[in-house]
Amino acid sequence: MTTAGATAAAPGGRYGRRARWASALAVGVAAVLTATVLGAGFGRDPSVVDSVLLDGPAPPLAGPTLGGGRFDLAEHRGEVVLVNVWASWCEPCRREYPLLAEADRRLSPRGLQIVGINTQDTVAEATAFLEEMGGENFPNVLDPQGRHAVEWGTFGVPETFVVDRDGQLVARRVGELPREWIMDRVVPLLGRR
Amino acid sequence: MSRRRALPALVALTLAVAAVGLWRAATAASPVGHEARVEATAATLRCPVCQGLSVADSPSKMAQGMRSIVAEQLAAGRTPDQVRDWFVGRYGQWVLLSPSPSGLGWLVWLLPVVAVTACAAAAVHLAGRRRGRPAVSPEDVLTAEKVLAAHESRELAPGDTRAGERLESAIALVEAVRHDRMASPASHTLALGRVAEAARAVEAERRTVDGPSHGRSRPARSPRPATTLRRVPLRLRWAGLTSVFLLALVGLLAANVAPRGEGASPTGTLPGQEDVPAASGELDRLRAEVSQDPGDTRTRLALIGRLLRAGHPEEARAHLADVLDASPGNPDALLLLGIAQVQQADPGARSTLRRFLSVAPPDHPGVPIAEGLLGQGEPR
Repeated sequence: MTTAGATAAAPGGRYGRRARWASALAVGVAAVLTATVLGAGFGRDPSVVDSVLLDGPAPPLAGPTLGGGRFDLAEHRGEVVLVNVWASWCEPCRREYPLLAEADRRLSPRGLQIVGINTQDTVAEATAFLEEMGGENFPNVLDPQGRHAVEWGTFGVPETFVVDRDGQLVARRVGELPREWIMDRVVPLLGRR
Repeated sequence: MSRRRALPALVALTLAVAAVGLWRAATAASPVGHEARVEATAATLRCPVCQGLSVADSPSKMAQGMRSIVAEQLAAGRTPDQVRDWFVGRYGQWVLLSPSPSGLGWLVWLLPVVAVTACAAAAVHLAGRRRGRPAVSPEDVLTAEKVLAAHESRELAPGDTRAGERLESAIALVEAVRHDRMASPASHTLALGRVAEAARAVEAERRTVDGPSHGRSRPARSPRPATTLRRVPLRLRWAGLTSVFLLALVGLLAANVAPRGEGASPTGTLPGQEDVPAASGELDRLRAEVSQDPGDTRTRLALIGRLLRAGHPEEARAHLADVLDASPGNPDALLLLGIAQVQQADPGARSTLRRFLSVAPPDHPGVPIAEGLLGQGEPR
């Protein structure tokens, strides 16, 4: 805009033509820039932010569990660990839970450890949730303040991470898990039966 | 003309706002005191749940958790930048409300500076042009009057060249000014000045065309509508207004993004633990009732339940001790004590819950909860 103004203001010469070319050029450049920026912005899903933790060491996860025990991720080196962040007030978590229970039942013999992070929840409500789901299948680390959730860089619930046998964070999924995701991202890491 | 004075004033004001915004954004205030430092650092972090809010402003549980992490790390002697890096290590640059001046982030910092400088240069340039316009001399007025007289008696043939059209429009302007009762004498003189200027241009053009090449066999330039010329000032005006608007926008954004130092955040200081004003009001009401009538066990149990939900197990346990002193076999109190102990990861939780199960009637609503809490503790 300023360029067009300055050129147009230049005295003498082939004044009108130059001014017109300059302003057309400026408008063209501005349009292309705007289109690029908007295209880049609208072209991607704003809710998807790549986890910077991916392909790095998994964050620590240790603490008391809902059932009164203790869980420490460091003790599960050599196992594939699926970490699921959930809360009893979260509807997709409710829909997702049967799949996790099934995965635990069918894949734990092949070396899969599932652990939940029960985040921003109360013990009573989380317990009632698990009762409704037919009991606790795998340990759930208590996270009433959401501190573990922050440690894992989560945005909401449910969110799921996969830690490989070397303790590296190899996969992450925001939102309800589809069965295929477990087949694609978890099963290949496990040993054969 | 008021518009002439209003525009520079607007530009100056906008520049000031932009400058203040940038300055506030760039100079992070160094707050005094732990609490203020926590608040200031949290204000630079974006809440993952309420993405439009900072961690300092968001009432969500997640933001509370992040605030407590900020507080702990600062208390442990880490600098605000180190704390921010810790969060960047988990959430990426996204978590920072003001982008760091590395990578693409520098663009956000640089653009306002470029915009302000460019617009200021353009404004100065425009102002200089306006001031630089020569005053209308008495000779000009005389020339203009002659041209106008010739125009009126239809002796004038400005020609269809650019200068000719300019002259015609200048004459039209004088006529318009003369018909306008509100027009000032100064504008009349200025219009006359334009006529004189255009007349000189027509004269000059005629000389170059007629001079060396003789005749009009080859026109120096194809006639072109004078509209381009007349539109220039208008276009500049639009450019100016658009720049002012953009600047205002950038200034406001910068002011908004600026980390808030020791000043109060717009939502005020959030209460410590329960954070939801309604819940804390309810707690205060129950506390007051209990202190008035300590013997009212039902109110007391209600308060204990609230305290546990709000995450105050210590205070809840103090009340529980009183209730259990008075009636050691109260099943509700036992259940609540068990939950408080679970919250505090107290090993006594299991025996408390077992005691609750032994004294509670089978249809007590807490039985499945206690069974659940006990059942999942078994080693798998």
